[in-house]
Amino acid sequence: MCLAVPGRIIEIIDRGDIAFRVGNVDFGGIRKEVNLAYTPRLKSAGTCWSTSDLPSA
Amino acid sequence: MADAKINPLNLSCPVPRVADDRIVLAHGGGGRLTHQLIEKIFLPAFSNAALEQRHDGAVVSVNGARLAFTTDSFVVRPLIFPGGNIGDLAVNGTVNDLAMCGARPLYLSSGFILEEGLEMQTLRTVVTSMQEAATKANVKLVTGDTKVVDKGKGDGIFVNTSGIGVIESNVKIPISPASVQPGDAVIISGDLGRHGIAILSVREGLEFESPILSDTASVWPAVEALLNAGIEIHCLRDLTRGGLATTLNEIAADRDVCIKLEEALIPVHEVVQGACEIFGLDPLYVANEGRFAVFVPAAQADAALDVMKKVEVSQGSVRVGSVEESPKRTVILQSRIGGNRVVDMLSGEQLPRIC
Amino acid sequence: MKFLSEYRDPKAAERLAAAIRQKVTRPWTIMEICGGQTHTIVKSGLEDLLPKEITLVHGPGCPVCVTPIELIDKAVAIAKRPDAIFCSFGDMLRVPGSSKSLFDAKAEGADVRIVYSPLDALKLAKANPAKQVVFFAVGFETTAPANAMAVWQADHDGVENFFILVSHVLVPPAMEALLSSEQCVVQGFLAAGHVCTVMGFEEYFPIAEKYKVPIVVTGFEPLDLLEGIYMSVIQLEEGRHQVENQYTRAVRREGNRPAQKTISEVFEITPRQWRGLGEIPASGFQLRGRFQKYDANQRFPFTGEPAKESPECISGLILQGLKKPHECAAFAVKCTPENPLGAPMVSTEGACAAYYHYGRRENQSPQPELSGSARR
Repeated sequence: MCLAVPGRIIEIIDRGDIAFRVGNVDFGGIRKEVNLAYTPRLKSAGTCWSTSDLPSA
Repeated sequence: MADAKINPLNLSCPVPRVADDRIVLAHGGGGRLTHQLIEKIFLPAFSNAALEQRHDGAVVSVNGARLAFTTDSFVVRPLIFPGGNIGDLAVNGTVNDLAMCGARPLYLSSGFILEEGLEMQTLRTVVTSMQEAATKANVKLVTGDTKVVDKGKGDGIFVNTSGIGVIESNVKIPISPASVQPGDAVIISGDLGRHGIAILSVREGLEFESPILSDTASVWPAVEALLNAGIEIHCLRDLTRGGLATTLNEIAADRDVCIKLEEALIPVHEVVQGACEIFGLDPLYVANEGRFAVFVPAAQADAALDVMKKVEVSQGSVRVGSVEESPKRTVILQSRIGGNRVVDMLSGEQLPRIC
Repeated sequence: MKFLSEYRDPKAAERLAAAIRQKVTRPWTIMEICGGQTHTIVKSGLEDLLPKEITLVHGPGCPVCVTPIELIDKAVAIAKRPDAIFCSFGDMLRVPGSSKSLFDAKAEGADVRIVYSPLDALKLAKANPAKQVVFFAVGFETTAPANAMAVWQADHDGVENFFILVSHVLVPPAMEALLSSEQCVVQGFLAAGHVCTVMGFEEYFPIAEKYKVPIVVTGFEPLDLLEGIYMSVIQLEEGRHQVENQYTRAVRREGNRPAQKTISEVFEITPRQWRGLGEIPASGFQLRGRFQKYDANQRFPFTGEPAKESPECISGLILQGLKKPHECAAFAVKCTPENPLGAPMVSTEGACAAYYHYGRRENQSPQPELSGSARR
């Protein structure tokens, strides 16, 4: 999915295994839940992040 | 059956091939297939001069008075969305079609097809909205009809509204694509995409920091102001299904002209743009329910903008382009970075771009 | 939008375009591999800013376009089952199979749904235990991590009614196949940025070396593409053939390790058919080990008629960049988005569709044919 849309992480929700880790992400005013399994180094909200391939949670 | 009914959002309906033997969703999309349906089935059957105008409404003459007559059906899903519901659309949509003929909207009819099992409260909400919209638009709902179909055979509520308006003496030349000239300025009455994204937000469960509301509204006040100011209006067209791109393609084709747009001038709210980015939608094709395009001689563009900006429903008006001689029947967009591309007619409904 | 509009800034675009014009001394042919890049190029009219010496050709960058026709037929067959819910990204719905597309099937009553993520399809499976929910897993390496994750989660949660129909294709083998062809006219590559976000760009070094072509990992915004082209042009003019990364804000050399780990747990490399190009060895993914139980291909054996391609569709030549869409006799005449003869006209990122929609029609004169091998 060749869409790269920058988003800002509002909060991170851990649900056990890292495979189920999701973030509440703000994309210029729109909030979406995004699976964060592939960004394990992300520790906290407020980081600016560029997301390509948006698997929604 | 899956989430099938869509109006006026372009989300999910692709065109695989000319489905000659069956209706497909794309036939309702407002793009090429819709036009083919009209040309191949409806026009040949019903042909007459008024219909051949192919405008938003028909302008007819009755005992010397010029009347505009229009009809529209509303099948939107969900019934209720941020900023309005099917009732608002039903009233404003038809009011606007009349306004696009330069006619003062006067009387509406409304026919309801209700699905068995519909909650009475939903119907009440819709009808209340219709009454409020009608009051605001200064029209009266004077006649109607109600039918109920079996559960599963409808989508809650389908509404048809028909409307009559009168073209007053301050309309000197016919307001229709036929009056569009090379050299005309193209003005739109506000930012694009709000209605489509409002619908999308419900269907896709999008959350917004501050929700995007449908822009459904009567645009007659803006048209009336232009007429009263003596602006020479060549054409008016609302930007509903298929968005700005579809509307302009229709006019360019009707009139055999080129319409040139500048991307940098086209207003799109940041959040609407963001939603379009995420879903791979092009704002040029997203539906609006309270926006219209107006074609005026270039010399009157500034005056027209002045008038429109003073009216609430068109306060965001901006000139976005011009009409030119050629290449004929084409809409061309100069992109932000200076390159040119053709803005084509939709084939079906707009599919989110997904690699 | 913040961090997005900066990459569409007209002044910066003009500066890059001017820099390219200054650097160029002779004709160069550069290929971009990803449909998203094709889309941006055509949508922003990027070629209008480039000097005429630069020819951009569009490679097989549209996974939708290269999905074999048999797989579409299989997808349609599955979708028509009364107990199935068939989920897909929007693009795949329109691609014509031998006789119909998924969208035709939907019109005839099949439960075909558009989703934005395989995880949405998994949710559907959990919510509809009586149904077989199948997701059309199409894409380059870019979409593999999400598909792998969906299968992994299904396995973790013991979901038994979820399957994926796999049509993953890998970019480096396709590049090699193109470069090794006698007719190859490509002198420089813009590598697909998001594929590299996942996989990194280690694999490209041996290719650059073997075929002596510069490869620049490039992003998707107009400025990214201009910068990628600029970096390629510098290399070409200086006679270098290295791998460079333009898309540094999203790509690291080693790629995304957690994603690669999940991919290698769930998938293995396999030869694959590319519609229009034929079979390329080691160029696809298939499910491996205990995850094979999620393979729709195995779960729904298909005995259909052999697939038939339209004889007029020259998509193979288009996908290799040997012909431009408007050089096809059927283009915009018999083959249109409403009536496509082949996949590149259907997918919104197919080269033919891009050319059709964004204007390279009668009013654009065809590019002069490059004679023989134009490589140095």
